[in-house]
Amino acid sequence: MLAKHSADILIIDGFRSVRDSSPTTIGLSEFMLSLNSLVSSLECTTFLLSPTEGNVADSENTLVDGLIELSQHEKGMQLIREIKVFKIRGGKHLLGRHVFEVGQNGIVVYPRLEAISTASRTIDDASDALVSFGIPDWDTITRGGVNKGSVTELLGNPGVGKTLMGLHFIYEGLQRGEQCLIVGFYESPLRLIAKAHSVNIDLASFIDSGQLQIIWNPPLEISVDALAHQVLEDISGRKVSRLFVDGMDGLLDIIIHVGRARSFLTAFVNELRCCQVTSFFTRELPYFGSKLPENCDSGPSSILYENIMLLQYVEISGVNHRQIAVLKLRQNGYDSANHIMLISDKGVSIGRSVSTEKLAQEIIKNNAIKNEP
Amino acid sequence: MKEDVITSAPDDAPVILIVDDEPDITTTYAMLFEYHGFRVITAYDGKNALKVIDELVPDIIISDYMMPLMNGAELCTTIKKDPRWEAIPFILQSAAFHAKDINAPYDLLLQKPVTFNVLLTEVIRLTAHKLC
Repeated sequence: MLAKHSADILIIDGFRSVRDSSPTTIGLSEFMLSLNSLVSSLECTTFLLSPTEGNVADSENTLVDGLIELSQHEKGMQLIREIKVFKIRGGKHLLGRHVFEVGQNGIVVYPRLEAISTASRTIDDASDALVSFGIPDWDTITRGGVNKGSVTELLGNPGVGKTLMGLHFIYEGLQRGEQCLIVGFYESPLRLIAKAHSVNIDLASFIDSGQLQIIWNPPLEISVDALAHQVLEDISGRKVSRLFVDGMDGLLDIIIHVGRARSFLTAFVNELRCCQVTSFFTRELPYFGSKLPENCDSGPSSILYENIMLLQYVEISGVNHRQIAVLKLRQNGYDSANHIMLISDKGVSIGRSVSTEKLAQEIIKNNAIKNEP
Repeated sequence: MKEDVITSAPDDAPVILIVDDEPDITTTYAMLFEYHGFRVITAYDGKNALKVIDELVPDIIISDYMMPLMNGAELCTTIKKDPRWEAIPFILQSAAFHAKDINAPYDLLLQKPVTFNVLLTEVIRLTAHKLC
């Protein structure tokens, strides 16, 4: 058949039967050598499909030019497909497991971002140019915004206005003619557009023109590798300069491999920096207190983010106020005071700095209440 | 499906002598050349090839270069010096050569790896007179 049809590809499905039918290892090796000789003479690329798992020392594993394992990874009720290359003779393949999906267009493999990032070792071009948030007083506090190509994290309590800050950041870019991308996990595009509209930010026209894309997925059974691939492809394809990820908690929720979050995020933000995308991530604090939730990656955020901002509710004289502050900014010289943040139908504005004396009085008062018998 | 089964070539079909110390190579080439209508005899080194040739003179010889006892270049030189066999086309194939053997009197030198289609084309060309 091979000689008659001049086949370019031969697939032997169920190679286990061939292995089982050979009484000795030598017999199987002889078969493999003959097969090798035949298909190489005919330039016929051959795939042996076998249910064997792992790089075991079977003769077929030794004699083949490439060894690829397809497997499944299970976490709770969730199951994903994975591919691992044990060997490709003469090739420098990416080590480790990678996710693949089976869809209408066949198999799509998503090389693990950490492996790609390590292999490419691209160095980002640190820029001194500043990127404005489009909130005048906030730009004053940050002395012009954040560095171009930097990654910013905004920590904040639920409902405190993190998304609105992000929308301002994106809207400013859109008005400057930049290509922008929003990656969301909670508010659907329609809700986000409506929310923006309520504070006089018109996103719809920019979506229509293609200047703004929204990638939205509820943080359920979606592949973080597929999402990262989609995001980076859009950034590369449209030359996106501003990215708003709302929020980091959703991204962490879909990283199903235990212990992978930190390395994945390191690779992801590295890719963003290399693309010179100024990125803005929101991260949710609990309703009460400022401790990060359990799903967070361990270790300090400062490794991932050049800039960290904190937005939280503070009680002053019995009234909850929004208070925003810069915790860290790559360039020096920012205003480190806590400031009141106001939200109106015109969007976010920054008010007066919160009086230190007033805050101290509140802290003393709160401590006194807590210490009452 | 019967047509896919390799059958014995007719008695007047050209004879190919395949000389290689790797049995997988000789087996594969034998199978494929027989499928294409040739008769095939095999030998596993140069000395063995000279014995085989004594019994049945082939129409063409395909030999590997690196073999024990007598390599392909030495075999080629021996055959081409013998008036009985000097007219037999000789294809020598190898991955690498010693400088001293580069001028062996072969008809065709092929660099390994050689695909079967290339080899088949050359064999047909060199045995065209027999096929006619």
